[in-house]
Amino acid sequence: MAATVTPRAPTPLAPATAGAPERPVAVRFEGLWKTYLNAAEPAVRDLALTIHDGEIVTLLGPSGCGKTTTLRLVAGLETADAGTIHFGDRVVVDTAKGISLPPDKRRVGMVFQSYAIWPHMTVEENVAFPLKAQNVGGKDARTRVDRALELVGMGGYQKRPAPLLSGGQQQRVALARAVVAEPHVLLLDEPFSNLDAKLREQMRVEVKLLQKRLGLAVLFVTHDQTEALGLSDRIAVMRDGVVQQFGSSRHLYEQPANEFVRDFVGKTLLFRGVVASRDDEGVSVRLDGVREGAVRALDTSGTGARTGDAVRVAIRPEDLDVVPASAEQAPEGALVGVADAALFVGERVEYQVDVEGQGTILIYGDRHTRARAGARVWRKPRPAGHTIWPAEKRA
Amino acid sequence: MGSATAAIASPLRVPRRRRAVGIRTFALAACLIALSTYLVYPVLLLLVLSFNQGENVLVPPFEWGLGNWQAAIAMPGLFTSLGNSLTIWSAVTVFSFPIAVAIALVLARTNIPFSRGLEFMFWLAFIFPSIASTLGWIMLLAPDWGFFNFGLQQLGVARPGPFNIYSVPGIVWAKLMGDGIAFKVMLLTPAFRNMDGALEEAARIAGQSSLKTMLRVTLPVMISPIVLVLSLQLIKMFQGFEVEWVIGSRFNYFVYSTLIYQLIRREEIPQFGPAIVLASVTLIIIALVIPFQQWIVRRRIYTTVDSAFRPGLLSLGRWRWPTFGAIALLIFLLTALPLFILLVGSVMTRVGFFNAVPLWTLDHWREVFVEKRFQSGLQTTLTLAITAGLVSPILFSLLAYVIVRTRQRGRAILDSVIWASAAMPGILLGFGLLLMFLMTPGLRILFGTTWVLLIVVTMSGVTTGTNVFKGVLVQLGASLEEAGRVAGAGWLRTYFAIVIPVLMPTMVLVGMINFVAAAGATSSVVLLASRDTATLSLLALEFTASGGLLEEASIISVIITLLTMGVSLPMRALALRLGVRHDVAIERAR
Repeated sequence: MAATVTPRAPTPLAPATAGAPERPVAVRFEGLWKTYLNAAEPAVRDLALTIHDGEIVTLLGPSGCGKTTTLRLVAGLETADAGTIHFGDRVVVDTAKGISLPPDKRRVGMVFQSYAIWPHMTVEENVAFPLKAQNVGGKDARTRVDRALELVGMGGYQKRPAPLLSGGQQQRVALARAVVAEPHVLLLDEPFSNLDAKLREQMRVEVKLLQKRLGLAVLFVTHDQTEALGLSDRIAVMRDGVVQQFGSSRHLYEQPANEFVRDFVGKTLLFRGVVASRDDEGVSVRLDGVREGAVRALDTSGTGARTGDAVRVAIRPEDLDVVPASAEQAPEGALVGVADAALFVGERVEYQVDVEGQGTILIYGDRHTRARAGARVWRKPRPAGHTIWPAEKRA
Repeated sequence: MGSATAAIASPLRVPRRRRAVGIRTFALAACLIALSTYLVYPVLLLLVLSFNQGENVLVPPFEWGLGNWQAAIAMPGLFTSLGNSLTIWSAVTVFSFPIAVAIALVLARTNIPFSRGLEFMFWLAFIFPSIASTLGWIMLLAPDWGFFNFGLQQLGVARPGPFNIYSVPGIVWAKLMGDGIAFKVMLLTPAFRNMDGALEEAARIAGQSSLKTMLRVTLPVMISPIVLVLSLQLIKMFQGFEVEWVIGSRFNYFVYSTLIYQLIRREEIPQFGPAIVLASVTLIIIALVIPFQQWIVRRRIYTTVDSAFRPGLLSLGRWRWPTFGAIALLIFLLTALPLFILLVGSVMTRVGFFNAVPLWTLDHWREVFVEKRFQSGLQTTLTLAITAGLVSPILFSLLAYVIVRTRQRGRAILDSVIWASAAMPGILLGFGLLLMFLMTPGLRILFGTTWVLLIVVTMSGVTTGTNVFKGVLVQLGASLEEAGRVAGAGWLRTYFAIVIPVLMPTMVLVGMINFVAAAGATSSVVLLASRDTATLSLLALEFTASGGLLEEASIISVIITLLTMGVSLPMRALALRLGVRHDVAIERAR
């Protein structure tokens, strides 16, 4: 049965090679489709992606965006309805030819969200399992298990029964088990989500170092943008089974291709303004309520706005300084407003500011800046590095 | 960045994979065919044969018509037996249910002393064979010579003694003392224990007393397991047999199951015609009850047990020890007293006759042990129990695995067939299978062999066993097995290296339950066993019902009890030890 769908959002696909390293391709999939039984909509639609050797590629998106399905398709835990998956030159899935290798024939390593450490085995038995499955035994297997455990800082825990491990230790064992048989690609399915904040940061660094040391290709799935930005070489932001944008962390953060990526990756403040001029490098926008001066911005979403058009400018919170008004006259390019509320949240202060010409906006301020509620403040955006978006539609 | 913003204008065709016919499809088809042969075919045979009014119901030439039905309607007492079944069931339910709910609430939600120990004793009461308990109570409450009546007469309190086990209240009492109460307490207590104590604490803080909290908060919140157990009780309506037989047949009181047995096995010429009609009518009633029961089960009003779960304890105050005393007394009546009386009876020259000389003797024990029927009965019982104990966990775990883990289309039907088998009374299934084995050419050679009994006792636990495994598999999630597959192990290797070890505690428990059930099975095998393949339970049943060999019957009951307790206690301990790992696995998988 074939149904038809129209993809929900415009999909400004960045070229798949944007920011790609010059290394051999480890995993490549094309035209990948997956619809679950009795589901109205496909979980993955016409997906194409390439992962190079020694590269960490992250699938980032909200729940239900298809990222875990994609990972499971690569692992062989789900069967694709259409498409191809290649590991290097090896065909792993080609639905047109009826090829779909079972998971045990693919040589992948995987760390599950729940770690899936087998409770009836010791640490050593858990890690040795993939080697046993490849009929590697004896001294060779022991050496490799010991080495894998050393790599993840679990040397000496060989004989410990799995149920006696803490969450962090389990994750290390899961990692050792995933890399011990030198997999073609390492798959990480939200592996940090069950750890506490401190351990999560530590494990993130350790995984990155381990990956560098082993030179592995990694496909990493998460819904946590901080994790994704910190760990990945490239990120594919997904929504409704479609990749919205694929590129490096910096690229996604500074040049989001659509509103979904802009709002999902990092925080954004939107200001109204009018295009003052446009050139090959971008546009200059005069923000509403600012007496003099303009900010530079890129038209990454392709609004095509021309001089005189009303637009919105997206400014990252850290690109905006909040200064208590010390004089009657605000400096050039500054927005002026009154802080309705000031919440000290540790690393920063959050101000609810009634901005002249803009309305009420939540703005972050430096924690050393002490503006009280009711105080008049200036906010001065950095002169460049912003993006423009279509103006709000008037009701 | 040159972002290619081209919206995909034309609709895309969504490819759907054709479902391959693989080994799993065949496995599912095989399961379905085997289960249908076992469950559906005998039922159809019963219904169809009820319209054969030929001279011999089982042997061609067949003559189709309503003759059997007309004869059955004219037969006095035939349909009354169905009413009797309903009477006994209603009485048992009315008494056992509130008592069991109250006990489970007290054990799970209050500060009663030794609550875990008391719960364990109810578990023991449950595995205490029903035939043994009934025999014990016959010895206590038989008119004239029953120990209670005899005692009261000796004390001059009443003459003759007031108790008579050979009566409808007698049957109800024996069933309550059998598994009527213990079974429900055993199911309800763990469910009640899982309730979040904060709900009760909130009621206490709001100013409610312990009792009011229990009635207004605990009980309504716990409605889901209560309804579930009530629905199980509903499908048990037609399952009573041995108590009704050993007590009822002595005063010509028949429920439908004992009447079928009487008609087929106790009449000089087996009366297949009316027995088949009676069985068919019962099947039709059950077919009406099942959808109702399923509706109840599927409503699934689950009680939320979140991570903040704390079993709160309500204080019983000064009622703490009196409540403990009352429950301990009930446990004494359920287990220790009948067992003690059985032991006493087995060494009396004649049960209840305190003027016999000599009063005490071991002759009965000696006679039983040299009796050929006892020896072959013991052998059959051990064969059945051990096989059921070993085969059922593997079989049921596979069925559960197919239902929970695969995405085959027929698995819902498989699930329904397994559920329906719970509603099938042992005597009817036995009857249907009897007909099947007698009338199906290839199967006739199996009739009267232990193989037939093996199939029946193994399969009789299919609903409970499969559902226990299903629950565990659902809780575990699939990642443990998926990790095995990704690590390079094939399906079979993953099943044996990971699934079976992880399920091991459950396997031990399911094996144990089926061992106990097989050792004490009566209704399902009573029509299928031959003289050579009679089990110990059937021997005890026969000796008790005839009334003349109570001493021998009590010895056999004691032996069955020792056998079941002797195996189930160590097995339970083993399962609990293994269960520590198991709990961890479930916790992790969450």
